[in-house]
Amino acid sequence: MKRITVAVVGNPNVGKTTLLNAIAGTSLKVGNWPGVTVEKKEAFVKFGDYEIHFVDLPGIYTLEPISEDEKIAINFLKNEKVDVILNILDATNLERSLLLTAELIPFKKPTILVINLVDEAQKLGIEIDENKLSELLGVKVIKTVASKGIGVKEVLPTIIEAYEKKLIPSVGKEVSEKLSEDEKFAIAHGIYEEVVKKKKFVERDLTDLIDNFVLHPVLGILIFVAVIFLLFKIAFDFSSPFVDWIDGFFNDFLIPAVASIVNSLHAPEIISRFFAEAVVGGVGFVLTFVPLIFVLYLLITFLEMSGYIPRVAFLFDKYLHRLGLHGKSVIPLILALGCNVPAIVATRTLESWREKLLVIAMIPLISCPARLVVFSFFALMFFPEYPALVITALYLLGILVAFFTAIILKRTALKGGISHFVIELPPYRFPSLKTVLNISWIHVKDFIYRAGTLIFAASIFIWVLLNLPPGVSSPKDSFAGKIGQTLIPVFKPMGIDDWQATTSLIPAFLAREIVLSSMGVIYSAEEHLQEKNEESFEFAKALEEQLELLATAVKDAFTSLFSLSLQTFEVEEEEGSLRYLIKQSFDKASALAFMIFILIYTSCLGTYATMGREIGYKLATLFLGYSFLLAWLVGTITYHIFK
Amino acid sequence: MELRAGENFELLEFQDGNVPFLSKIKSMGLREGKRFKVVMENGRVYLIKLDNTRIVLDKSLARHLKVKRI
Repeated sequence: MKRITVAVVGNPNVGKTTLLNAIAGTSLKVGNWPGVTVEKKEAFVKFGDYEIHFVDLPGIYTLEPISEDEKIAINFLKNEKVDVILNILDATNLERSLLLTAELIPFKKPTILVINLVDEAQKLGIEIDENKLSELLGVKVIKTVASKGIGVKEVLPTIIEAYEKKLIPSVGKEVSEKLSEDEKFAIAHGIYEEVVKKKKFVERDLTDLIDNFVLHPVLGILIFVAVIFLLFKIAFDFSSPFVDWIDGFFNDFLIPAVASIVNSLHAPEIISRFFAEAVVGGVGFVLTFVPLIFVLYLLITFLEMSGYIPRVAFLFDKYLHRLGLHGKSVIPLILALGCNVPAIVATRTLESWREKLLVIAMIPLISCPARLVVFSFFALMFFPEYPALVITALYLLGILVAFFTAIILKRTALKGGISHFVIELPPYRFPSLKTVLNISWIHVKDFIYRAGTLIFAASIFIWVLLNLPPGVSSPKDSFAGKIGQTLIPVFKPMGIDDWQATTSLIPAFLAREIVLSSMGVIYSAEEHLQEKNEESFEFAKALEEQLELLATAVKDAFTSLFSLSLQTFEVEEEEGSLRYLIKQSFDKASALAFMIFILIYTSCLGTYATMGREIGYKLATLFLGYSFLLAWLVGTITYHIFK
Repeated sequence: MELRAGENFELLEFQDGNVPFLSKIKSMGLREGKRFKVVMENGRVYLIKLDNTRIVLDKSLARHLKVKRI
């Protein structure tokens, strides 16, 4: 089998990801380019005798090295073994796309051109003669609507044909290594004039129509508030029946099932204890939140691909620049709602170091699903009358502290003006659901992987510490208990004087949701000491019951979408014994202080490491220390106010 | 000439073309001889539309564009 490398090149927003997703499906991988934090997508696809390695280069307008994105693309094309260039063009903006095509000619590589978005172009009255284009450049040209899969099937065989027949683009004359601006423009403009026909009468552009509302200075902000509300409403209500189901599946099915197997094999009881306390108590606890995270990623990816997010930058620039921030900083800040790590990566779109630093200082304060998991757990338990209010207040507090941090930095270490603002607003598009699902799944897989590795390891570590020294009778006397007790003086001013809570904060530096898994492990170990009723367990019957419950969960999830209120918080949570035990360790004031501490303190290894890569570990550590102090301070003040 | 929302302009030339941001808007398709419409302004930024591209650019950058109204 021959292996060939295909570089996917095109402008931003031409649907490269959608096309690659349509070709490669689930083999699509998202990573980073070495040394920099620009996102790198690649995929391996087998076709005939070939294994085709697709590498998606960053979306760029030109190969002139203006920013990191262009440098990566140029380096890849120059230094890597590229066998075929897959150049994706925007049918609605063909002349601009051809500027980049012109710049690819000097590389003398087999090339195929894919003209995407032909449906949108048709609506705008643009007709493209692909045969003429193919004739002029001497390469194969395919028309596609990637979001609907139209034309996609032709891509793989055409790549092989271009490779085998060495179909290299040319414009009839030798072009120099470095095209001048004018040459490039002349080539693009000349081809454009020959292949594009425009109709006089066209449909009214839907994007213009929508923009009248979305970019309206008053309506636009109301729409933004509604979008964010809906984002969380759907994320919560749709996922919550599944969250409950997984929780039940672990506790009412898996644990008894394993216990009955262990019993029947006459294996030592410590195995079922390990499973119940470390595996289900720790990892399982965190895994119950997979539906919530999946739905939240789904919605944020949907927003990202729909073209809405850059419009928020336009809308809010007026307010943000008064705070010394660039309108574009709103993009990473919104992405931070999904996960702080890609948000930090997204700051590369900010042109100045000062702005980048300001936004990176703010991002860890924007709450993410990992924190939401902790908040919803505590809010439902301690504020069952108004959990939504508490969670909203925490989110707002995070945003407030983020702006406070930015203002302080702007007045002190990071004085200076705001750089220019240039951004393209892509047309509104209904993203291909397959692509949105696939990209969200890539993120969720990462979360599950983390649960299976990092969180699992942390859970085992805590469980072992809880069971050492050997024969320890009460968890309080175990190593974990001792460590927690030494930490109590630090957290006592915040009202947390319970060793279980302080111990769980240590491994939580790996990822915030570990605070819950550790509590799960610690409290289940305690619970174990209380006598439990043994019930008989019938595998088939229990399995059937779980399937019935799953069907109900699916039904509940969909019906929740037809109500405008946040339903998740309307139902009172039943009291599990684990919850009951945790409830005894906190009161309302200390629970609030604890949540605020989790909110503000950058307790996330991923965020810290990404910050370190982007701005250096010295600054990242400084921000980390700042967040700890601030978290402690705000937590302590809150505790004393509400006590 | 000042850009005004709702009006159409033709770009005559870039003044002081050394600003690095200008090469970015050039590669986005805004070049000498291009016609564009100023769709709206919001605080310090304009939203312009040329062909099928919508570009947001700030007013201090727009000062480098020498334009005529059409």
